[in-house]
Amino acid sequence: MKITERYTRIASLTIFLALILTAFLIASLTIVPSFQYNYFIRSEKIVSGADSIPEPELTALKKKAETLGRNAEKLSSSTNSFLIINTSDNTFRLYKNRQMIGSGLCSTGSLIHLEVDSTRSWVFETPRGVLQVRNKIVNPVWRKPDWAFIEEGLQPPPPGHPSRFERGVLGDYALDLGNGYLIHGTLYQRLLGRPVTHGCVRLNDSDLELVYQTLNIGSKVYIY
Amino acid sequence: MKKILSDRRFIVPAASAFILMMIFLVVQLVMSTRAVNATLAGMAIDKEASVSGRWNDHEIRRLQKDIIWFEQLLALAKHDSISLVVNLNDSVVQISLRGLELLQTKILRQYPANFMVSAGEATWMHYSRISQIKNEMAGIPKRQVKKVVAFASAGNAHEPSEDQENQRPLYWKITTAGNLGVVITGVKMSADSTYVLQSGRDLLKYRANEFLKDPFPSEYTPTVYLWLDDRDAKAIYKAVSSKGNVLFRN
Repeated sequence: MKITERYTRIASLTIFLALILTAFLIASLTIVPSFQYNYFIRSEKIVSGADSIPEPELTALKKKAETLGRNAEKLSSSTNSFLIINTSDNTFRLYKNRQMIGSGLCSTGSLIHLEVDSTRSWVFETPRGVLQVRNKIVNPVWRKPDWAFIEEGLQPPPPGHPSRFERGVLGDYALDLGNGYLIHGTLYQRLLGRPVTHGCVRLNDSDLELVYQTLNIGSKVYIY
Repeated sequence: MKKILSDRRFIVPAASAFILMMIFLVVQLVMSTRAVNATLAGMAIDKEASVSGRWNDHEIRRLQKDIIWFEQLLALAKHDSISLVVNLNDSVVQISLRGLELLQTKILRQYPANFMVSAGEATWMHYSRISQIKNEMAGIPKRQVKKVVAFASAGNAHEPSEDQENQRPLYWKITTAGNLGVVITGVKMSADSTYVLQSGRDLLKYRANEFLKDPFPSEYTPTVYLWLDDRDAKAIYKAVSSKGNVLFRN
């Protein structure tokens, strides 16, 4: 009987201590941060100024806010055509005259780091930032870089070798973004929406045509 | 049970534990005020005087907030890197580049609900300026580069692999040079196109981790916790560089 009573007492004490500990833990994780935030916010003494602001001063403030607001609005309301590419979701949005006229899937860099030896390696990544369309090409021919051969397990041929030039693999159009990066078509349309390229941006045939017709040389391509 | 509760051998340890916990809580509260004071002293915010003296006027406050916001947006447009814009006033988070909004996503939930709304003018002015990310911490890598050795794996370099890291919802914590903390949690959309938020659980988990790391931090960083669509949150996280600019508004 005494043993049972002793165990009951120990169990009760343990439960009680656990309850106290839990209550205090929750309190210190909720009450303390809230208290600290409120203490921080209310630590500034607000000094009351004049009872009311003179009308000319208020008008000047309103005018300043409106002017700045208009200027800020102009930043994102370009009438020029531009393209936005999301490398995280592999999607694109095409804009013309402040309206989105196209959107869909694309493919961007695979982020594969291909290493041959200590001197030769490539990271297949689509560059981020603002690029410009430098050239527009119809029926582009792919000039295969060294990595294309290495990926196939072949040694790269000398520059200008006929095996470096391949027709029909980039689709009907290409837009040159500089440094070897293109927006072009693809034979692997089932892979659109996935990061599988060597840094170029791949689109399906109809999207590519729309992008080609909408963007001009000098048009901006925003990549994030 | 009544007998046990009135037993001295029960009351003494229970009361001791209670008192110890109370002392701990009080010490935590005192230390938290010290951390705030130390942080304010380090930031050199003039807490003694309001800048214009008219911060109490609702209309003036709104106009001043608008002016600062537009000025900062215009200044941000001069930067060449992708910036993070947290606009609590419109409940959106966006990334922008040279003034162009690249992606905007709605804030699904925010804690504290009225973050910095009742802040004084000097405090508000300090936190509404463009500030660079000082440090960041995230549950997934920003760039997950997969290494492939040439010739050893010919033919499979193009094969897309399922990215296990990207299956987990995003957790991203940043602290700016201006001492603003932003914690972004990704929320997956369920099959019926709804978001299942467990913000209370997330918040408790984050605070418990912080508490275990440093129970009495010497500095205070006002932190806003945001829950965003996971896909958008990941796109934002990957787009903003680890030293990117952050602009905040409430």
